[in-house]
Amino acid sequence: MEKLITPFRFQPKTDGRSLLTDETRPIQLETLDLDVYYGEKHAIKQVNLPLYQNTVTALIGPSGCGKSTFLRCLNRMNDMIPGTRVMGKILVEGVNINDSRINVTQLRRQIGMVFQRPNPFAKSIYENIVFAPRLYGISKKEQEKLVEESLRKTGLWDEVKDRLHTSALALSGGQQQRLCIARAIAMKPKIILLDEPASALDPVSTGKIEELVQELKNEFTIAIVTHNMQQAARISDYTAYFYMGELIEHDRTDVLFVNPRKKETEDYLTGRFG
Amino acid sequence: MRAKVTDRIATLCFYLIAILIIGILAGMIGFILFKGLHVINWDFVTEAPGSVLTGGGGVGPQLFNSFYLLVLTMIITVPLGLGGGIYLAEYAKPGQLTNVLRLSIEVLSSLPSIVVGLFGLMVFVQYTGWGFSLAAGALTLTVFNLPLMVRIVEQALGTVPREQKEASFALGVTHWHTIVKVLLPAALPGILTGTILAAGRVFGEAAALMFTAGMSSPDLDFSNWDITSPVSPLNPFRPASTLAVHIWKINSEGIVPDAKEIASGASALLVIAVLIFNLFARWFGRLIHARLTSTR
Repeated sequence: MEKLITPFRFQPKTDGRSLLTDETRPIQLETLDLDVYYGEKHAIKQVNLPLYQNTVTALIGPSGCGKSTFLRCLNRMNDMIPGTRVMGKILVEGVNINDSRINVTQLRRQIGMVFQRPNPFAKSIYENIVFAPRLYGISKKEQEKLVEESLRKTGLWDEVKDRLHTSALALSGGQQQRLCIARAIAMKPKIILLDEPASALDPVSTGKIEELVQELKNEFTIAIVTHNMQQAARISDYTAYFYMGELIEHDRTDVLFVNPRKKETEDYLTGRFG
Repeated sequence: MRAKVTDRIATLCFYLIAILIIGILAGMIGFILFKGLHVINWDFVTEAPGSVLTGGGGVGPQLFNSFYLLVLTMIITVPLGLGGGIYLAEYAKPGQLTNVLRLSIEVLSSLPSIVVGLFGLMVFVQYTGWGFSLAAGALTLTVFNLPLMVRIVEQALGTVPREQKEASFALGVTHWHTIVKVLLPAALPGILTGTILAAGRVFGEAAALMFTAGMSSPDLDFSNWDITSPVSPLNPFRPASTLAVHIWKINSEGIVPDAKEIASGASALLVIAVLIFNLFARWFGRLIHARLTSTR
């Protein structure tokens, strides 16, 4: 993280715009001039941010900077909070999903989410995974296959295969969180949003989650909110730095951490912030 | 030093209050059982009351009526209460309409049962032309059990962690499925406790039933399963005195020679029935909850 030489670089004015215009990867999701208001509070200001296919994008920034709010826009979870207004466009495969005509439940099947605190249902491990897929009609055989497949991908299978029908709440915190991820990928989404998935976990469990994220990006596009800058540096391909509701800088992680283009980003990364 | 003394005194007070409560309960149940237990035997529990001249007999039909009325009342109250509670907890938007609704529920739950009984007499007994009947009784009891039930369901749903709802929504599960498959199972223990409370009121209620379900029971033929027959115990349009009403009636205007005995025995039986019902309902609820949550 130590920076020795600061090479001269042209610093364009961003206006909350992503600085990455030279990427060749296809864009999975993109926000255009996204604004969020909680009542009078302007929580997100004119954010333009792409998520590239099969990559991990880390959203970092101090508490209250709007990174979680931003994440919750992407699968319309902010709909649940009364008094929230989300303006601007969120494009997924060319479709603006920030539109009242969008079927939100269909949308959330394609954009999964994992929360800060593990929140498995008070049901069995098996039920936790098949609960949502079953509502869309899958056979008993497919259910069993899905459970094994999802648990294997999250590395839980060997740990829980003998007690699939016992309560998920008996699992450890780290296992619960991996079950939540298994539950999310069982819906076969295209994008997975992780809202500080490891911040309530011990270091070993955190390590497992990080490894898992690395593997999952082969199949999914991932956006992860994290407080932990080392974590962002370890697992993400792109990093977006938020401050006071604005997107200050968005770049490849290796570039942003070593060579941030903005003074604010550098101050935050080096801990000189505040 | 003073803080310590205060703490001691406060602790002592709370212990005394707890002991007082237990004492009152134990004393009352003990007294009722002491007075009534020796009257209870198989005949008393199953036989119909004897004639006015000879006395004797039992309270079989009344016991049956109490349970049957409970079932009928709950068949009406539980779905309505669930509906109302779910609406208030999940769908009602803050506003004038919701405020009026809440106020109505408050008022409804604070009405004296005798007033509700008179209302039942007017509407369910006379206006409908059913006369004194189980149906009229059940509907009247619904009137004052419903607010309780609605509030219980609303509160029970309110205690389910927000995370559970978010988890379900984030998986693309609809609001309705989230309520039915996630929120209600999680709220079940609370709902059950409330339901038992509401059911207890059906057992104990007398004032509202005197004018609606009536104070007498026809000669019942317990082998008759045709619910349209006037002598079938299952006919919801027959008059039916419950155990509580029977106790009141025997005590206040009974002219059978052994009225005191019957009242004591029936009281003991009522207490025992309520206890058994409570224990059974709790056990059953735990069973369902364990099934739904895969614990144990």
